[in-house]
This record gives sequence, C-alpha cells and structure tokens, in this order.
Amino acid sequence: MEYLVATDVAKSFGEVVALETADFELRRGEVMGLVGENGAGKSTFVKILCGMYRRDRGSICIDGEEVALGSTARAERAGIAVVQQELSIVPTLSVAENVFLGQPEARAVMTRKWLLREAGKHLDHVGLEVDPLTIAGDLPLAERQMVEIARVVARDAGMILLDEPTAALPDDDIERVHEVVRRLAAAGRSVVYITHRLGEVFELADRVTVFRDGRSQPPADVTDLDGDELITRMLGRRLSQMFPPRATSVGDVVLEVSDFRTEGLGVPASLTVRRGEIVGLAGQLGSGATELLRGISGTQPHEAGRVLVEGTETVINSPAGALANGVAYCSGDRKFDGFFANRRVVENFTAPGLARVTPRNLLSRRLEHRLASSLAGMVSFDTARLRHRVSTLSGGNQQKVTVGKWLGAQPKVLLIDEPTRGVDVGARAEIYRTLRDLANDGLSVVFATSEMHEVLGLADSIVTFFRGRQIAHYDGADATQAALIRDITHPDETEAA
Amino acid sequence: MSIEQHPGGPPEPPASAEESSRQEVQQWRELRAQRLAQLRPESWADYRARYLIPTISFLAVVAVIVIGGATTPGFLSQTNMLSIIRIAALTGIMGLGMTFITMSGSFFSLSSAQTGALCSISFAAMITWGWGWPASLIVTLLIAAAVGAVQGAFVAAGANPVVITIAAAAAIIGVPAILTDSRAIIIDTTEAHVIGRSTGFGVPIQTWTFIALIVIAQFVLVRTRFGRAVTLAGANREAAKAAGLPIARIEVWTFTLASITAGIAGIFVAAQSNRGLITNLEATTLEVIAAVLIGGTAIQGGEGSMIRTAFGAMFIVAINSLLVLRGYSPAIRTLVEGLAVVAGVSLFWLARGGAKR
Repeated sequence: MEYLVATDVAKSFGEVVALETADFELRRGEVMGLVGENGAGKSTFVKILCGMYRRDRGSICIDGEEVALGSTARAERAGIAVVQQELSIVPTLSVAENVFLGQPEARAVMTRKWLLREAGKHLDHVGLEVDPLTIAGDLPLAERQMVEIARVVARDAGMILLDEPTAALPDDDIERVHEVVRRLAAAGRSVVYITHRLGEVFELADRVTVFRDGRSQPPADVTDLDGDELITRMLGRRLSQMFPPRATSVGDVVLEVSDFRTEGLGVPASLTVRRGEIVGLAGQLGSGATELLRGISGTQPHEAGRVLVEGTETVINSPAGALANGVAYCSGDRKFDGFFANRRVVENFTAPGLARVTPRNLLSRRLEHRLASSLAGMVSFDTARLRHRVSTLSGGNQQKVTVGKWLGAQPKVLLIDEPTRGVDVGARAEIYRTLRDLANDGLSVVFATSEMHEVLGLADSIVTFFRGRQIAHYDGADATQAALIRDITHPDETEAA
Repeated sequence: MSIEQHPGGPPEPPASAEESSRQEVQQWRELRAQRLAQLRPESWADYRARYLIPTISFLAVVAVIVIGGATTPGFLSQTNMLSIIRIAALTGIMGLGMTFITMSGSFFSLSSAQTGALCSISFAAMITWGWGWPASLIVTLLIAAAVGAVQGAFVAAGANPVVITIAAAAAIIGVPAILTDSRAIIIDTTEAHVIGRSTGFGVPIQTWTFIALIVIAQFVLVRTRFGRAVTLAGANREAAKAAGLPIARIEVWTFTLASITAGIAGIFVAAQSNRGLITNLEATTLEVIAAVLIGGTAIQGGEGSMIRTAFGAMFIVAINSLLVLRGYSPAIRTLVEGLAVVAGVSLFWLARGGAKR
C-alpha cells in the first residue's frame, strides 16, 4: 500500500542543479531509511517534501492524489510532519507548552489542568515519562528530542520525517528514540528516517533509499543489503578501507596531564600523549572525555591538575594561552565556535595563525594565500574553493576547514572533539587519513568521540570515560568493541553480566 | 620595501631576478590570472554579494543627487553642495569609528553625540585658556580616547554595549553640563579658524579630513591584523575567542576609535561655530547609526566597509538637505530618515538572500 509516491522530482538553484531527479515511494506504516553523502540531493528532496523548497518539476502524490506542497503550512496540512535536526524546542517553556507550540488545537488560554491531561497523552505516545510541567531546557538532550517528536506526533501527521534525530545523542538515548520510531510505525504512520549512522538503517528501517550525485536509487529492502554494500551504493565505489594503518612508532612524550579535574570531569584524570600518536578518548555525551579536552585547552576552567607540554609545566587559562603553548582545540560544534560562516575559506584558514600572515601587523595577501593553500593541501581541501564562503560548503568540507585552520597555528598537539560529527562517509575516510598523515608528520592528536568504530579504527591508544571519570586505558590494537562499550555504558557491573 | 606594504593591486615582482625569484614571478602571474578570473560572478548570489551590496549606498547617493537636482532648484548650487559635504564629513567621520564597533559585533555606541559635545566644550575651553589649537586638539582627543577606552573596558568585561553607552552618554554630558552650567563657551579669537574654517582647493578642511580618514580606516580594516581580528570577532565571536584573538583588546580599541572620531567631529563643530556647547552634535548618534546601516554593515558584525559607511553618511545628509530646501519640518525629516534606514536595512536583508540565511 503506497502512501506517498514522488516521480521525477527535480530542483535547481540558478545554474546549480541540487537535485537532478528523484523517485521515491513510501508505504503506510513503514520506516524508510534515507541516506546519502552531503550534497547528494537528499536534503534538497527532504526540503521539497516539507514545503521549504518548491520543486521545479515532477509529481508528488499522497494516497494517489497529487499534492502541491508549496509552503510548510501546506505540507503540514497534507499530513507531512518534520523533526528538524536542530531542535526547535523553546527551552524556557514547559514540556507541555512546547508540545502545543504552534498547534492548531492549542487553546488561547491553556490551564495547567488541560495542559497536563492533553500533553500527557502525546508524551505517552512517544513513551516519555516526565512531568509535562518541567521546563524543557532542564531536560537532557535525548528527552528534548522526544518532546520535539511528541510535538510532531500531536499534529496527527500521516508521514513523519526525522532529520538525523540521533546525530547528537549518545548510544543509550539513541535506543529510546528508536523505540519511539518503532511505535509510530506500528501505529500505522510512515516514517522517513534520515541518518549518517549506517548502523541505524539496519536496526530500524524496513527499506532504504540511497541518494547519490543528485539522483535517487531505487529503494532496497535492508535484508538484502550489508554495511559494505550500502556504503558502496552511497559512494558509487567500494570503500576498501575506511581507516589508514596505525602508527608504526611514536616519539617522546609531548603532552602529560595528571590529576586533572574540570567541570564534568569530577574524578581526576591523567593522560600521556607522545609525538606522532593518535589518542582516542571514548565516551558518551557527559562522560568527561570532551570536558577533558576543553579543560586542557583552557576553553573551560580547570579545577585541579598539572599540564606538562614537552616536559615544561604550563598553566593554560584560555584558548589563546593554549595556542601559545602549542595546544590547539577544535570544538565538536563547528557552527558555534568552529568557523566564520560568512567569511571566505581563506580567512577561516588563517584565523588562528593570523600573526604569521601579518608581519609588522600588516596583512600580506601573498602570505595569507600561501598559508591557506598549504593548509588546504594538508587537509585535502580543494584550493579552487578558497574564496568561497564557508556557509556554502558541505558538512565534510566545513569540517576540513574547521580542523585545518588549527594547523596554521603550528600546534604540537591537536585536540579534537568529535572529528566527524555530521560528516558523510566519504569525507570521514578523508578526515581519518588526514589525521593519520599529520600524525606521521609529527603532530600529536587527541580526539574525543562517542562512535566506537572511530576509536577502534583510528586510535593508537584509547582511554575510556563514563559519567565524569576515566575508566581504562587500552592499546589501540588490543582493544575490543565489547570492552569499550562496557566501559562507556556500565563499567561498574560485574563481568558476569 | 616589502611587497605587503602595497595595498592596491598585485605588487611588482622582486627586483633581483635571481633563480629563486623566477618561481616567485611565476606564482605572481598565476595569482594575477586567478584574480582576473575571480572578477566574473559565478551566480546570482555571488553577484549580489560582490557587486550589489557594495554599491547600494553609492547608488542611493547618486539617486538623491539626480532626483534632488532635477526637482529642486538650488540643490546642486555650489553653496549647498559645499554645505552637504561639510556636514556629511562630520556624520561620516563619526560613522567610520562606529563602523569598527559594528564590525566587531558590539552593535553601536550610543554615546557618540555626547562624546562629540564634550570634546567641543573641552576644545573651546582650552582655546579660551590660551592653549593654542594644536595642544587643545591633542588633549581633547586624549580625553575622547580615555572616555572610549573606559566604555570599551566595560564591554570587554561583559557589559552590554548598548546599556553601557547609554549610561556613558548621560555621564559624559552631565559633567560638562554642570561645569559650564549648560552655557556655551564662546571662542572670541581666531585661533581655531585654521581647523574650523580653512579650505583647500575650495573644499572645507572637514571634508579633506574625512577623505583622509576614509582611506586610513579602510586600510586598517582590510589590511591590518587589527582590522582582520575585528572582522572575525564580528563574524563569530565564539570562534574568534577559540582562535586566540584578543577579544578584550579589540573591544577597548574599537570603542576608543569610535570615541576619537566623535571627538574629531566635536572639535570641528566648536572650531567652525566658535562655540563649545552641550547641544553640539545633538541627535547625530542616530544619523551615524543610519549611515553605518545604509552602508550595509551587517548589524551583527563581520561584514562591512568604511567606504560604504561614508556613502551612507552622504546619503543621510543629502536627503536631509533636500528636505530642508523643499521646506519640510524637522519632524518630517526625522521620519524620512527613519524610513530610509528601514528601507536600506530591508534591501540589504533581501540582497543577502532574505530569510534563507
């Protein structure tokens, strides 16, 4: 039973073809995975479905009837609801008020009693057990995500689009979101699930539609596919190896951190990083892994501990101080403090190393261009795009700029939080290779991640974190996925479990 | 002389044509070819960003002059034109300083007019004390710098720039109001005429100063480390902090520069009218802000140009003059000014891609 059928949908912006042609079908009560690299046309298609863009040609039928979808309001009336990647929850309002935000059935005057009763119903639907009068901003990220879903469910939509709902969630909470998706499908709603985490496709979806180079591929049953096959479909080529080989030898100790405490890392932690080594800090959101990096780099204040850079005791109180001591920190939230969206790529690349391109305080266009080109080369960023604004780049290219710019400050140690968040598979492999190349050239890299395959594939040594404390230390080659997952989810339970 | 000191166009290749410099020359040829290729816009968005936004304020000035000239006798007369460029110089000079603040992401200083008035009084007083114009000028500008630096320090410490400068405006005007009992300080010599009334090639010195300051300010903005740091701080404050840029120092300096430019305007007013008075430059703050906005500097910072601010100032002053000649009341003029700001800001919003951004 087809609920929605799209035929030959296309969209161009001026001369730029964003979506060449897309065919798509969605059955009632099915979960359809939607995957593709950034720039493959996936998000353009989704924006057409939810009324944000108008299609240039093609037809979209719901229950056999052609629909226009000229605006978000029309798409909503046609029964298409969207949970955007960026949460649109109002943090200062209560959960219940958020559920009814902009809702047609909302009353002009909402009494506490009415809110409690009505919101409760919708929260039950998504299995969220919180007091509806809790202030939404006080909830953990995963629960806020579920409030968002509850709000969309409350609209009684036939089709629900989820745009990377788990991108920012740790593994535990992802399961809760999956549970909600299964419930929705079981209740006869059709779900389109967009994700960068391919594991989710197999766990959750019935079928999957792959977008590549502005075209859609025919939908496939997930039972007919395996991970490699899916990646091959996305890239159009076989991804022979995602990760480069490990370091063969590492040098002297470059960074030594001992008894370090900072907000979010209550139990003192220690860390030793050698020249040319890549250290992976594994942990979920709030585990202390990210906090350790932020503390070392002076991005957040440290409460206790010693930091030695190349054997010299160093006090770092600000990012500027960290850079001066050869420590760079690349945040995991690149939109927030990673890049200058409306400035050109060149200016982004040279920001941390500004002093190098401004001899006697005067900016040299020649030096600036030279530095930017060389940094672009290091992170395999296309130099033809150096003059583009960062906001026009794909997620993968933005991440290359965000990481690459730190190299301009010539750090000895590069601390990176979530090096591949919101980056597609192809660009991920490139970022891994870049980091390994840099390490081979003598840079030390410490990265924090919640993706287990990333630490296992990339790191020379691994440190695990759980709820604000360090759990264990592994050699990269010896660690097992089972051990890491135990460490970062329930390190205190006995082995027997 | 090193090449980075040539601001315009690709500099000459190094004179010593050694083996090593041949590569340099080759590099330069490529860069030049690249620059030529880059002049062609790639898309409508590119065209907008590169050609439309930078010229809006210029086109607005041209439009006012053409319309004014065609409809209003006397608008294009020499006296009126001279008066326009003299007044535009004052608004414009203040606008240049204000643009630094806006570019850095700290919105505006609302104490510009008061700083100007304070400086007009202090300059007039010093002249009457017989200090001579050079000393009076320098000391007055030092006062202006100090007043600006203090406000900048507050903002650097985390205070809201709008709140701080409103409070500062009251304090700045309060002190001289008490000291002078709100009466004008009259300069009864010709000591200040060299600043207030001299001309070069028939053009008032205010305008020459304005032109020189445009060039300097634009150079500082695009060709110095400070200017780039200001731009980046406005483009994304958090990313700038993370990149190790000295945000606090930038705040102090931008507010200091804005205050100094307001001081220069104040000195010109005092020197020209021979009076230091707390109502000098009254209500110019909004005109200055209007000039910055019509010049297309992004209100959240990180995008803008001094030259465009200068045209913004000329636009505001020219339209004002046109309305005066046509006999409209000050109320109407304020209304039109407000509408021009709304229209200008909306136009830039559309030109930048509207709601999509």
